[in-house]
Amino acid sequence: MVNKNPSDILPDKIYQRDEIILEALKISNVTYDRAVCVSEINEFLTDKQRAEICGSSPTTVSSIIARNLHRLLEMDRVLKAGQLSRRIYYASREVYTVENVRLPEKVTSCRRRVLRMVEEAVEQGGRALRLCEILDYAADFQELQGYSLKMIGKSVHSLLESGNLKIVKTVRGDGRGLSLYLPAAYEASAYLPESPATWLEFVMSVFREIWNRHVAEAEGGRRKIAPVTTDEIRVAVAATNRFPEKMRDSWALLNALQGLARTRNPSLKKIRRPNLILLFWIPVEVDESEIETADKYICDTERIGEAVRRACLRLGRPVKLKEVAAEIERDALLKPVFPSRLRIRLSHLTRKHSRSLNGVKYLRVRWQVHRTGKINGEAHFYHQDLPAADNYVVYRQTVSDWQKLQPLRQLDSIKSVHSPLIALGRIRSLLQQADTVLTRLDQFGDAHTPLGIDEAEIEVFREQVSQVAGAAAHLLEIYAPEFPESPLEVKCELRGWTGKAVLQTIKDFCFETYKINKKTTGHSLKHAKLQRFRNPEFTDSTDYNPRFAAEYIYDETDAKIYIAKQWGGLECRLQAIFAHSELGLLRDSRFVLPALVSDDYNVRLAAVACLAFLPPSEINASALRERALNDIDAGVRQSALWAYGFVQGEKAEDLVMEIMIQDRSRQVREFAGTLAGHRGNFWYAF
Amino acid sequence: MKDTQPLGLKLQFPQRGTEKIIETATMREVIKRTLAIHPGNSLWYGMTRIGKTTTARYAVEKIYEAYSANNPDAFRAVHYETGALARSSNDQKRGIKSLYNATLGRIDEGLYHKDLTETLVQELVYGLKRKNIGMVFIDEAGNMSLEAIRGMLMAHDAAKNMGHALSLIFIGMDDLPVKVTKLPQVNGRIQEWCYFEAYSLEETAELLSELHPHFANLEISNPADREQFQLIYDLYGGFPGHIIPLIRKIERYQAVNPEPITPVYLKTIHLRTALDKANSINRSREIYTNDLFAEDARRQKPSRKGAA
Repeated sequence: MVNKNPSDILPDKIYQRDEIILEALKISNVTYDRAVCVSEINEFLTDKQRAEICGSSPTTVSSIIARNLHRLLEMDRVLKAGQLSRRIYYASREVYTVENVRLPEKVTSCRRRVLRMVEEAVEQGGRALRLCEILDYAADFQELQGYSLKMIGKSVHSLLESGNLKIVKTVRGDGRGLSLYLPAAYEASAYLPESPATWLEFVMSVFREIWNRHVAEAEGGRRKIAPVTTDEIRVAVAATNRFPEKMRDSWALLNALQGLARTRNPSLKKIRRPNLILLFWIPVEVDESEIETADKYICDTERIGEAVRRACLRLGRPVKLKEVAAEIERDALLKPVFPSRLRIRLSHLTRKHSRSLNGVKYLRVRWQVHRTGKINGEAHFYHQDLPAADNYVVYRQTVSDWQKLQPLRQLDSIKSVHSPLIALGRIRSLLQQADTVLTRLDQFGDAHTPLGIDEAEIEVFREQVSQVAGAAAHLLEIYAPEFPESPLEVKCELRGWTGKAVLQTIKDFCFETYKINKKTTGHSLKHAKLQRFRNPEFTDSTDYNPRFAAEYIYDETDAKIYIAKQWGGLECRLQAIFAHSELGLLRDSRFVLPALVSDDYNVRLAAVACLAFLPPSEINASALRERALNDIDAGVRQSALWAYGFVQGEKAEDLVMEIMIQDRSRQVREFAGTLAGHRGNFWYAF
Repeated sequence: MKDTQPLGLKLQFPQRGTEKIIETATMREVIKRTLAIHPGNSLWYGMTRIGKTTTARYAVEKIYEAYSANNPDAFRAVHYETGALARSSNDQKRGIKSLYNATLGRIDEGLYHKDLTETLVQELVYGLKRKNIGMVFIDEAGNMSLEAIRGMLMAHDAAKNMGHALSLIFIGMDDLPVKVTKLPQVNGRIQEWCYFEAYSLEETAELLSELHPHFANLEISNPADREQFQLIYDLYGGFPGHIIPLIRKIERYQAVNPEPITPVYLKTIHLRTALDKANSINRSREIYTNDLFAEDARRQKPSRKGAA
């Protein structure tokens, strides 16, 4: 059928379209058993019929039906039963007459239904509602069955625009509505929610309660206000038993607080102190200067870290364990809760890496305390990773190492050395040490000044060292010309023993082993002022091999002399005393070997004792053997024989037997007889 | 006698030569007696400047010259002077320490404080045995306390037990002999006592002859020569310690301005020193009043705590 221009439509003519509509009206009337509206007529059209009705017209079917029905009404072909709201209800004359046509029961609009629903919900809840709550209520509201949530939501906004609903308050939402709605006829003050409507509002209310309490306490105590911690809020929330589903999520509270602090209109302000886990929360309008954060720590790690920080700031330099402990004593709030040893805790704090449960090593994000190094075996810590802090340790260790050398005493004792060549070696060694120290001091320029040390102190120390170097240089002028062929540089490499090796040596020959354990020996070794130096093979203190686990090891010669003097027999002790007074800090046997052929028996005796305690070598051993066999003095032969065995020279037992039989001195033969059978570390016991 | 050198000091250092010890009969006698009782302890006593220290050093020198490593009976000797040891509760140990330091070298202070006295003695004797030191001359022994001397004698006893022959010779003045006899344990261990007397005129003449060629050319039987010997003997009492400086002065002045050595010459040299000494003493007495002397005496008063 060709759609005609409306102006061409004859008013009285029934077109095909009209017939379709009339037929649908009839069916609809019969079905509904009453007058029907356009949409109800449309329900009974097939798609083909709809296509016929619309044709090529862009107008909707409902509009065309409505227009045609209007024309048919004028033609008196249909009845207009009535109008409800905006809908006109029609009836077919073939089905109804004017007298018996029925309209549907009074129909309420969605808006009206929604309004009714909101009123009912408000009455039931006793307060204004958010949109999400309205929608939740609508799900069970009978009258709105069949209405989509979108429709209901639109109706709410429509009612708001028309003034049937009003917004009485906005709340912190959780994505499900910020406004509280109330029917316009209701008094707002009577229906404002007494308790927080949302999780965020609830958290905020709990925060306010705690904050007000802190403010009251601060005013009473005339001090700054203590901020609120996450833990305080957590405890308060848990006590209310509200929002249990939120409390089951360990991150919910923190996320809520973060949300309250991070929005464009924040209510809270978050305070985080550097390197500390514990967060503080204050109202956004409060200034940080009004609050006191000093006494709040989440765990012992933070307390100890804070103690280190305060100690460092107080003293202006890296601090050691005792100073950290003293700082903790000053403030009871810094005292750790759990009774682990402070040394262990600090050790944990300084670790850069940690291990997960499955053993994977990872870099720690929060690294509070930095271990700057050791001074005299005592670890030092600083709260920041600063080169100046490391330089402090280097400087102090340098000073300590220098003082341990006892340079003035060394200078003084050089005059009593029997052998001039050994004296020369000691002078050169002292000069080298002084040069090393001065070179190290030179690195502390302007940009590398150690923390807590002023330049004047460094200059004073430099002057002291220079004076010693000057005195040694003066002595060198006296001794050096006598030995033009002597080495110009002294070998300073030291051979080291671990504490365990020292202990084992003692236990091998000392009968009082029950008195000697790691603790007592370690204690006495520490106080014996044995020369120690950094172990070049050190890797990790937890290494199973003690050679790699020891950060510092003892000078072998010093250790031997110490053991000999403390626990050695008469011969051993005598030789140790000779060696100690002769050698000083000299460890280079090139200055000792020539003294073996001196005319002075005192010099030869001292040289033998020195070689016994210097690190053993084939050259030293063979020189001792030669003296034991050929020296003119019986005393020197005896000493050399013992020394040869002590350094565990090759076939020492055979040499002993040989001398026991063939030496020209009865005294030496008897002495060799007493040596026979000694092996290993038992030479110490002789 | 005036110095005739032109004005302007022209400094000339005295010639330093090796000190020559003149062996005298007294020295020979004392040394022989001391060696005769080896290993035995001796006490040498005499006034100051009488030659005790010189004798000891001479003995050490002779022993050194005679020493031979091939002689099993040979031994070495050491001479040293002790300082004043302040009294303490353990003087015996301090005596041993003194002996140790002089013969073996500086003792380890840690061991000194830690070890018992007997242990230290044992170590000392072991070291002496090793160095074959058989005789130790302890000079100025009058400075030491009786307990310190007793401690040293412990070393002698320990040496006997350890098969080492050790003789200790205590040399001194002051109250050394009286002190030693106070304790039988000490007195009984001194086997020889040597008293150094002043030289006689003849011995003085003999000494002077050895010291300077001028006196070597004199004859004591000649009255004129005897006058010089007598003058020196009267002035210096036969004490070698006083005579030898005179000889040095004679040599010094003779080197600058040779003159005949006459009694007047000798007296002049002596008086130059003696008069200046008397004038110095008299003048110092005038300057320092009695109050100042009293103050000085008060300062020198021993403290109540007893340490001398």
